[in-house]
Amino acid sequence: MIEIRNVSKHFDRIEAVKEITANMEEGTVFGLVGTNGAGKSTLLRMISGVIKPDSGEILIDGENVYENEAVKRNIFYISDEQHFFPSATPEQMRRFYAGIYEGFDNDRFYELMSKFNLSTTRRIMTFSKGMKKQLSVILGVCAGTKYLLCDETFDGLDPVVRQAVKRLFAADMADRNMTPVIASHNLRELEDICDHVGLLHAGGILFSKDMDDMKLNIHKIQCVFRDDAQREQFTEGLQVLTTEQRGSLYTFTVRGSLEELSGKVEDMDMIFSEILPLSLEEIFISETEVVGYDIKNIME
Amino acid sequence: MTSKTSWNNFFKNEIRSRIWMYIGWAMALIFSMPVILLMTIDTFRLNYYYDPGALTADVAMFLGSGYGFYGFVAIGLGILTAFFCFSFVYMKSAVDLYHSLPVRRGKLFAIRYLSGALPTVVLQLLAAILSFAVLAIRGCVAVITVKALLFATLQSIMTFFMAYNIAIIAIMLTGTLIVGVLGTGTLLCFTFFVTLLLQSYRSSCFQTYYFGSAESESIWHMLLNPLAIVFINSENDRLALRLVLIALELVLFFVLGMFLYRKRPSESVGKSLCHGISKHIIRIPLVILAALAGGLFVSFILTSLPTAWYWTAFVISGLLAHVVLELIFEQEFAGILRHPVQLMICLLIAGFVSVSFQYDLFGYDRYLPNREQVASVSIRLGSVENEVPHFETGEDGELQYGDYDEILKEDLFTDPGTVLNLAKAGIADLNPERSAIKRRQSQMYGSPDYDAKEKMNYVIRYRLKSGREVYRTYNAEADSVLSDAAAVYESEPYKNFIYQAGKLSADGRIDAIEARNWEDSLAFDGTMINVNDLIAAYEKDLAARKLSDLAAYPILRLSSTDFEDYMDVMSGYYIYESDENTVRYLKSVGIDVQTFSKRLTPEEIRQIKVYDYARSSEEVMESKVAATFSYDDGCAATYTKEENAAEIERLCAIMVPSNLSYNNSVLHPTVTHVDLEVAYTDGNGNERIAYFLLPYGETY
Repeated sequence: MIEIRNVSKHFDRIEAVKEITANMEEGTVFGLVGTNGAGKSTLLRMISGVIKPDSGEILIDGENVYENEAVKRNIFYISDEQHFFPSATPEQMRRFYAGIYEGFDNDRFYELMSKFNLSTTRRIMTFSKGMKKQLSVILGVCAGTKYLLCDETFDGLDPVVRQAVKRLFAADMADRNMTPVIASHNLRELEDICDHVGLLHAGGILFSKDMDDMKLNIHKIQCVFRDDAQREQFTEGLQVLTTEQRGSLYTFTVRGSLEELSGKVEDMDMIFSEILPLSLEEIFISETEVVGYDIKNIME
Repeated sequence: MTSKTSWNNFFKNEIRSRIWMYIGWAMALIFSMPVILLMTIDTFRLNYYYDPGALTADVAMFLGSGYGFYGFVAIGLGILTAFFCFSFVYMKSAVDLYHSLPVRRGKLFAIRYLSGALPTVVLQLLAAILSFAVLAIRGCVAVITVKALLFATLQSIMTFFMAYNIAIIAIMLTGTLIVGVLGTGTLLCFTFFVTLLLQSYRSSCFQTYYFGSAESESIWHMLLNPLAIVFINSENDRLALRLVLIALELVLFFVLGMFLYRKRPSESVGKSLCHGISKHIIRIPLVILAALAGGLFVSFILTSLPTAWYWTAFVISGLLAHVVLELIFEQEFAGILRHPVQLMICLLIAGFVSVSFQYDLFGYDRYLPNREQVASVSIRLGSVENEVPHFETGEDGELQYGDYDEILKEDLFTDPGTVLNLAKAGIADLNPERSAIKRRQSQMYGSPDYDAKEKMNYVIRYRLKSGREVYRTYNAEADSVLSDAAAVYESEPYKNFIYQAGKLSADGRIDAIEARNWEDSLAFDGTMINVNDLIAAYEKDLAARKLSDLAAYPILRLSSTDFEDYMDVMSGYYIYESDENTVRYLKSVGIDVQTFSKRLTPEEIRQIKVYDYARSSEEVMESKVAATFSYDDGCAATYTKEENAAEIERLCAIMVPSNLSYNNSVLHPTVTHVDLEVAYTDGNGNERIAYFLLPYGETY
């Protein structure tokens, strides 16, 4: 498990990460979302032991990660701008990583390179941005580490490859309980892969929640009431997060299970009613508004 | 995977990734050592085909003092290797990769350090082996050449490591490539610059500063600067100590480099400096030094300007250095005058340093140790027997001109009493003007005092009981120091050092000898005397000579040619009337010295031309001696036998031959700005010209 306890990091006068506390459970996919400059990369770099927190601590399986060889053998960090040696080929990079990570799966590397249609002997400098990202992921997955830290890894991948990578992650999670931590500014990318999401903003963490909890316990209800009294009766006892009115159509974002809310809707004799699932983005909008942030100013 | 395995894999990968760098290094090293050595030997062979010994000696010298080019190659390789191996710290993506790997930073540093250094050292050794092969092929293998080659290789390796370590330290302190390059340059040149500045201030501000002390004073500079290692030769003092210190220093630098790397935050990429504190550590000394250097530079090139210009340049230089450094540190024009208080403090410190030099606030010129502090003293009387040459024997047994100042390294006297008296006299005779700038201006632009009597110059070296060596040079009125100078000159250790005639004769260095008088007439040569007998008698006279004997003019000038070494080893030795043993020996072989002491008579003189270089240009123009500026412009008077018999008679009585006057000019002072060109008819009826001087106090 990755435990982040009250971690802060300053860059000169800029507070990049501000007292973040979060846990990343094994065998789950943790998504770190937030705008550019929210502190996602800084947090990932601290988790991977690249930079040292100014205060607080990051424990991986109970041990501090910074300058800890034993702990870092369980981590592979894919930077947002992965470095390859000048004029190196994928084969040379494989040789390098295989010399560092004892669990590096060479056979799988060749297999995945072939599946992703990447040459092992072509110079990486001639690869496209997406091809480099694919190579990084393949190297990361083949390193066989328990934790795979990905910084904007899906950025630049086409939808087909993105799905292939997601399947790759799912397979490794199933086979060897790999724990990917994925940072991205794109909520839609994470929606169908993350088990747990943490939203960062301005260096702080707004919340960190389980995806299922969020999705199952928050819904959007669109309805047209017969009169105001019925509307008041409907909202009474509900945990309404947001309300929007367009003409006679009301849209409520409400906390509660589908069963609970369906019962309530069916009990009312409204002109029109419909319960809709929320996208991850809509959930964030609602949740962040609750904690006092105007999401339109936060998210792109 | 064990730690050792990951180390090996990592190391191999590092070597593999830089294979082209090593190929380039191999080419540079092979060209700069064996190829250039081969070309040099072949050039030498054209000149020394008849003398293999001379060829070997020159090849050894090339490998020693001529090693400079190879040394500079080693410096270049050291810097480039450091940047090839460690410039990854300037790339965020590379830092992310390396620092996320399960390798501790200390180990990562060591792997990259060794992957840069070891192959380069192996290539340097390979170049040395090839150089040895070149020596063997060209028949130059000898103890001196092999020794020189080994020393050059050792020097080259040390130079490489010094440059490599310094560049690594600069890289570890900086966050961008360009600042890293600037930092490397600063670290490489810093000690050299400080030493140069310190020496410039001392020499320009202190009246008793002795240039020869520079080497001993700059030992720390020699240790910290790879350029200095290049110029250490195998004959340097304390060579073993220096090499050991440099080796220790290299270990220290390695540890420092590793420490800085471990402390270097990964997020430093893109910043000018990794640690905020280093900005102050760098800025404060550089601003102080820049202010001092700027002021001195302007006062050197524009000596005629008032002192205020020194301070203007001083402030502008300090300000400029501050602004440039702020610009480099902050990478923006806004706020280049940040830290104004720090700037003011730096300028105040620099101002105090400058004033302390210019007005000698700490009494450098008035330094006089207590007798109890002094372990030994040495002295060189610069104005006594200053034409007597000093020789040393090289490693190859060849005679070579030595350094007069070598006497200062001898422990001549353990009782410093006499030397301290001389120092006191020198201090009493210092220029009373306290401002160094005004003194310099007066020397450069004031009217020279042509009538001033030449002063006695001497250099003193104190070796204190603390181990410290202190050098001072003085110029004092001869009359005030004669008795103490005599005590020094007449002492056995002093004479043994300056007079090497007996030793040279014993070593068989004097094959032929001859003596000529003031008009260059031959008094005797090797066919008329027995060289060994003459030297034996002369050696006794040298040992017995008093300083007062040198006040008289010598009669004969000796010369000798050692045909093996092509040197006149007796040049500068004279025979005086007081040299009783020599005079007696010469008389015993039928040579009467007195015959050659005969001076000109007024009757023999046809004309005397008087050249006076102290005359102003107006006087020269008025004299209308020549229409255009020429040597004759200095001709102040022409006396002919027909028209100026009285003047010729007077001058003839007092004038002294110039070629016998320079050896001890302080003891028989002359008017330095007047030359007499005397045309005369010699005893054989030949018309000749000789040059004479006027004794001090006389006029024409």
